[in-house]
Amino acid sequence: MKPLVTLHEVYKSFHHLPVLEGIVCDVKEGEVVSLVGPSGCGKSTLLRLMSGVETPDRGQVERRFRRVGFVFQEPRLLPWRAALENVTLVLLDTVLDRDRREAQARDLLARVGLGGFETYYPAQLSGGMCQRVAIARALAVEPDFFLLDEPFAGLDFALRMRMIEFLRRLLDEEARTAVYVTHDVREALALGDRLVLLSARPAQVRHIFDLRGQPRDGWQLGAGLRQIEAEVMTALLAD
Amino acid sequence: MMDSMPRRSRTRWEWLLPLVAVLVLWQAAAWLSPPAILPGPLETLRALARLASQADFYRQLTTTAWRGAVGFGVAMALGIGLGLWMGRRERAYRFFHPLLLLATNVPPIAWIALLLIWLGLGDGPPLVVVVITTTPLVAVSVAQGVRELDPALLEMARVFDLGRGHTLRHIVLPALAGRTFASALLALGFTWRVLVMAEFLGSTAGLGYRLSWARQNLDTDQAFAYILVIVAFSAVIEYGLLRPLQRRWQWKPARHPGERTAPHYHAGKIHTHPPLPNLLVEEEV
Repeated sequence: MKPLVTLHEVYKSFHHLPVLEGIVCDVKEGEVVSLVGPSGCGKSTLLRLMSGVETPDRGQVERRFRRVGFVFQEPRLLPWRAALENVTLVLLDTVLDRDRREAQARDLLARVGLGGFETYYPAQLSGGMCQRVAIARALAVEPDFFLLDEPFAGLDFALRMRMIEFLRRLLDEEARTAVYVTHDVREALALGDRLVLLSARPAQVRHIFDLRGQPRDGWQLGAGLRQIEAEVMTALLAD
Repeated sequence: MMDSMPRRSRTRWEWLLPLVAVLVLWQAAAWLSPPAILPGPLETLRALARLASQADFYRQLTTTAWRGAVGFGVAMALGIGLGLWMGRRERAYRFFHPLLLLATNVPPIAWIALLLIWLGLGDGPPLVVVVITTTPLVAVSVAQGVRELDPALLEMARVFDLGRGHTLRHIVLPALAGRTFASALLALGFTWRVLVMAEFLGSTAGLGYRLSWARQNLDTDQAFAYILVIVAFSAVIEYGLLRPLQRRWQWKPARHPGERTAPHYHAGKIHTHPPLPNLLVEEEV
């Protein structure tokens, strides 16, 4: 599998505060990479470098994907637009026919389980529902590369689990490539094919775990994954 | 909620109450004073009817309306343009903000005095004083709105390649609409007040000029009639034009508690839970 994104010794600092220090990693086509690290270590910065809205100070970010679908930590929906319009927003330039645009958005909302909520405004939807509108919006651009920045951090535990399973199915359906940022080890293990563990700021790649072939069933982790969980937890606690 | 019928019928007529109170007080005061000092509502209406039968009245009305419309229009255009620029460029903001504050703090009457010296009688002083006093109001609040634009939404626009046009139309303008309308309403009030003042002090046409004329001739009932017209005119513009526009364009977050969450939601096996504080909801101006 060819890598969609490759980072070569990437450095980035903000106002002389080093955030990323020599990051080397790649994301191969069709895999889900979980990015784990302590809060504030520079995970979001790394994601924004991958998406291209940020450029590295030193080093190189090679991007081979066509279009990125970004899901942010907060829904980032337009509060003055209903759910449907929040999805059609990203289709304005690609789907010129209004009816087709709305039909597509309707389909996407139905796919994320929000059929019937097209006319609801973000303030009328719960946090989890808003985040699913955001996922529908990301799906709308037909991305070949997903970036998810702690998208469920604000949700309670049970809802978070269901959202993760929902996302897992969504990503599995078309073998999509994704980077999933989280500070929650269990989420990372439940979702990822590989787990990239970052150190505290300035972030360096501490270790990359291969999770493929490890038995897991939703949230039931096999012995191998539990071993990895313990290792990651120890590393996070040491930071 | 329990007695929604009487409540509704009360709110329907409630707006009349302050008007009636003013009329009663006015009439009472008029009974106590000679008509040359304080004409009552009826005398005023009679004077108004007399005025309304003369062509001159409509000429003055059109003159003032035209000056108001042009002055207000120019001020809005300048204010929004300047505000957008100031909001986006920190240096422009630092340069213009103190100047605009200074301009707002010079009393309108001082501007009028100077403008009469510089421009003489005519359309000049009323128009310019409107522009000078209202542009800063609009510019400052638009600039403030731009500076408070949610960077998270703007980054979203960048990530999804929305482009300048869509970002402006779907993110920037709706975010600014509230402040812009609030400042427009304020500016309109200012427009009327300073316009009539400028016409009163030095002009040969307009409602303010006629008001001054009535004062000199001690036609108190006519003066009252003109005041009534001036007030009615601004009320018509505010309630007939600006407020409906505001209701149509300004986004308001759902406030009714029943509107906040979707009630019957079982699809996808994911149930609703209490809504999180929505970080994107901007406070109403």
